[in-house]
Amino acid sequence: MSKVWKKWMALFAALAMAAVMTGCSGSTGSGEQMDAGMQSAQEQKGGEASEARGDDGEESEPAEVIFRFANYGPVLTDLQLVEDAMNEILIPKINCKIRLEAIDGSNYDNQMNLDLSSGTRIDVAKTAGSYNTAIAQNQILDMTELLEEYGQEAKAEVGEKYMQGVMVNGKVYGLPNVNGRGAVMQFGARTDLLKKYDLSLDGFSQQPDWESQSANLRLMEEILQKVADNEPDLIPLVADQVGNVRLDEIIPRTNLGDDLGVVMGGDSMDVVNYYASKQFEECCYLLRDWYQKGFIMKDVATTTESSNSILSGGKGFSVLSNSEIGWDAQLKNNTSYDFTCVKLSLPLVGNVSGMTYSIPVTAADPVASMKVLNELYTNSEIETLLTFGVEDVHYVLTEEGKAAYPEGIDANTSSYHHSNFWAVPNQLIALEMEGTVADYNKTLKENNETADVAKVLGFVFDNSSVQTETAACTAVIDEYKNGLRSGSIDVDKNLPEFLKKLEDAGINTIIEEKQRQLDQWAADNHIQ
Amino acid sequence: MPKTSHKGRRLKWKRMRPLYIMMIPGTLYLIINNYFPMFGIFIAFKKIDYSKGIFASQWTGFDNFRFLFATKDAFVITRNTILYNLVFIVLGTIAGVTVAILLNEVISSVWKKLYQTILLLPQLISMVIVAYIGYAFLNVENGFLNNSVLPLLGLEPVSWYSEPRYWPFILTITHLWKGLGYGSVVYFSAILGIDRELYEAASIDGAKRGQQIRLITLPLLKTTIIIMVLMSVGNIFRSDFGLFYQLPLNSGALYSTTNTIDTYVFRALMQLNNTAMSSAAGVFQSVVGFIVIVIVNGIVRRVDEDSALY
Amino acid sequence: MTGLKRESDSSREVMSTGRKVQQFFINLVLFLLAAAALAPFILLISSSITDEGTLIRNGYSFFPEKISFAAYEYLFASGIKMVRAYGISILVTVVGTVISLGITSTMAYPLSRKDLPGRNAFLFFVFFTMLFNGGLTPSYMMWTRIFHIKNTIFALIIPGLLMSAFNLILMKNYFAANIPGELLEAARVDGAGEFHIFCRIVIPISTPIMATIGLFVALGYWNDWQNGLYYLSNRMDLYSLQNYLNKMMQDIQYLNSGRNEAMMANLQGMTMPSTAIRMALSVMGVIPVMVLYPFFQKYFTKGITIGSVKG
Repeated sequence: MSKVWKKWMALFAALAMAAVMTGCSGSTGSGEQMDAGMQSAQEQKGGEASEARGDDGEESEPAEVIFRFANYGPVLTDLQLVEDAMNEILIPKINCKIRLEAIDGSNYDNQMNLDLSSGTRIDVAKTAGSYNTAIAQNQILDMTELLEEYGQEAKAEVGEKYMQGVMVNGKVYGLPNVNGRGAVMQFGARTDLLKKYDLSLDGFSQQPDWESQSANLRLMEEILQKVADNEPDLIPLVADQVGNVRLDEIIPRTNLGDDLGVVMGGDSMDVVNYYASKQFEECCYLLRDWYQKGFIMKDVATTTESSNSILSGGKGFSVLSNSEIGWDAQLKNNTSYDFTCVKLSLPLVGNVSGMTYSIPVTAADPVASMKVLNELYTNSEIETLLTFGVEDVHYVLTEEGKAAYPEGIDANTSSYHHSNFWAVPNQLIALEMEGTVADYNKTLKENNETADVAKVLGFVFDNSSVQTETAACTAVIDEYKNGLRSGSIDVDKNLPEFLKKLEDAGINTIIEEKQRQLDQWAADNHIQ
Repeated sequence: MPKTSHKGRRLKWKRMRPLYIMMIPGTLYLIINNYFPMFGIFIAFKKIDYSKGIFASQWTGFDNFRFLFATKDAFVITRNTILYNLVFIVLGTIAGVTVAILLNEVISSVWKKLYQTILLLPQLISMVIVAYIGYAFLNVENGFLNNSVLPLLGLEPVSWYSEPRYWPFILTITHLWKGLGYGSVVYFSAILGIDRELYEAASIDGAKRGQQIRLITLPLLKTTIIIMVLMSVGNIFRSDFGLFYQLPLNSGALYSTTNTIDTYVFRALMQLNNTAMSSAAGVFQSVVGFIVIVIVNGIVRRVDEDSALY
Repeated sequence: MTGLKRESDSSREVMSTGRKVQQFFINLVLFLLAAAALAPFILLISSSITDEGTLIRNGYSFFPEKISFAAYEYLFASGIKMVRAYGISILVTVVGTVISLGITSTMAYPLSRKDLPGRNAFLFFVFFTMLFNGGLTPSYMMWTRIFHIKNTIFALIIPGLLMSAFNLILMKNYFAANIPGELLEAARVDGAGEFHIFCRIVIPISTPIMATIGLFVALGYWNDWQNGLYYLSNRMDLYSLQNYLNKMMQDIQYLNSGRNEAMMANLQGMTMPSTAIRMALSVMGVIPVMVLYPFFQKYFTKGITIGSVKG
């Protein structure tokens, strides 16, 4: 027995040594960022990237920039074609070459972590995970100076008002993507049924105070009751997400990085536990009531159908969602029914770092990265290529000058679909999509300019000291959120249980830490 | 074994050399594919700073492990993981061996083939699809059980996705249903490997089929069974994520009987996206599995050396 | 085949009433089990040909009210992608399985020899891999930075799937239990080398285990999507069938994940394949295996012949 043990111990020790040694030699490869970048640059046969750096001499080879974005749709098989078309513009203009990499939205964060931890070169990318974590873990570079020198136009596109939202201790690490920020909660209902029962959505108020919102809820209840009484086969209120009717989103609040500790309303600086708020409780009870009255489908927490397919199957009457103008057109597009929509509040922007584009730590040539990033935010030809593909191949122009799929092609059969339009760096300079209202981009832009911003805009929470608590609380929320947000579980029993578990998991530690950082931030930025 | 002379040993080495050469490709693959990446275990003890790279990042001791025990449910998830695994191992083995023996007894070769093919089908359907099928059976409003089966038995409809007490059965049945084909193939091929003459001789001696199974088949299957069980025991702290997450459709009401270590880790890290913490969970599961397997293998070795794994 | 026939002949001679009853019950049990395994599968097929509207209104059904092949038409309309994906899946499965059987059997045989010096250490070396793994990050780092297999077809074949300790141990056990020592001794006396013995004696009598392990490995390759997901970042033309299937499933889950981006994508009409299409894709993933499986089975039953001949 002991002999056997000795033998394998020796063998294992040898293997471990080998592993450690190779591990160490590998460490030099990814140890320092420049080093890693250079290595991968060579491996990608893009060694010229670093040579071209700095001087814009016309004879120098164009620097190659790997641009990675998230794909929220079917597989993009025609990347090469789009890439070539972009390079025809970029090479003469800024002497840079782009290489596109599309990663599935569902796998994006995971893949970025893999690539960044293994030192794979990526030059410009949608930031993985949350902006604050990416900064805390040094995944992305400080681009403040580069932005000053090569990115003034991009900065102007984002606008001073929103640039402050990505500023951390006076430094910028990523640019927020530009799209309609004025999105608010809306209630949308089938136009044909509203007419049939002589119902109107005119009475809804857009005031954010809780009295007005409660009045909205009562109005909604009357409408839903009427439909429930007359259309027994219909689901009066379809949950936008599985297990989430999104009713509680009418509560005015601003998330601070995550929903573990939020501020209520636009002017507050007090971090509180959202789930323990009076408003959340009210919403839960109301939902439970609606669920029991049959306004919400019984399987809401576990259905395998999306809201779009339930609505397009003619099975639902209304839905709540967070949207900008033109939601009715989108619903029509997604479900083929006519919807009448009404906004339930005024826009309040509390956070713009939800989706940012940044320069990863493994970038080979940050200067080239910045030049390309600038084009991605300001060049409408590039933007249109990225959003809709190549003209007459992937899209055609309609009479109104909007982009549409060619005859007989749809998102699933196209080799370059259009579903990413909202996630590109700057949606507002690309072509408009077929079916949008007239002057769509212009209106969104105006709304962005007039939208109110929360006092806390620009505060970025660093959660690295409360990782354990965040993990434990996330798991607790996952247990209760679908039940409570859909009315499918008993509130009397589950809400107190939920809050107790959150406390046990340490939500108060997170809130304290957040408050501390927020106060610090407020003091640093002279905000009262 | 008698002591071999020096010359004999050299001869033996010469004989054995081709055997070692044959093992080179496989050994190399295991070293590259399995051993080399083990250096990653240390990620579990690091606070990753991407600008330094994972090697140069700061050590944090056991910080990344803390979230595994930071929950009041730590007991529940550990209990669930272990109990389900034990039940799966026991019932899975019994079902696999029984079906293999039954298959072997079937005379008609057409049916024998047909059974085998069909039993393997569930293995080929991805867990997500299994979850959809499960939903078709279990959903409250128009699921088969509530619509067709329960009324026949005169029972009230059950709200399956909010009643945790039914799930130990649902999960076990699904696991057995899905794994039966795979498990029985292993045992069936082992039975096919048994020398026919043994049965013929027994038959001449007047042994009935039942006796033949008891006296020949089962004893000869023993090694295979022990090996299969030992290999499952090493994974006692792991669980089939698809089975425990997809099939219950992530219904919060069912957590008391469906939450396992893997689903907890997944849920906890959904937002954090923290590589170090997820590898910490993996290391924890491996270490526990390793300890268990060394103990069990030690016991097996004591009882029956031939059946031990190493 | 002959062995099977011989066995059934001999049993027919002595087939008593008791034996007939026994056969009846054995068949009944297996039949019921098979039916239980088949039922959900039939449901899968029938929901793939159910009209989408009917499916949403009435839910899943064994006997759809209104049949529609729209899902299949749709899949074939995206034509070339599907055909290519099938091709990739088949290529990867065949090549992977052949290589895997090669390196697994050449390693399993020496390990099955009790007289191999250092055998226990090697077995532990093998077994240890079942318990510990470094996780995805280090593997990914190694395969992409050292071996450069990213965005190549090798990425679908090499990482992870080529050899597993589980299969190796099963095969080693089979060899240990089924290769008669006398046969090896006899061959050795005849002066045959170990290579010769392996090729001429071991391989021919190991068809059942080869078929079994081959089946497991092939299933592993056929059902794999992870390698494609992680290692193909701009060569989507190398996506296998399972990659397409998995992508759809992941997208659906993602859309319902409650993350802000996902809610946005849902709102903006990120297309999700209908239930019928998901089911149809899944059926298409299973069918080739159903077609190919009987070929493997042929080798399982061959084991009987060999069993009765060997002495």
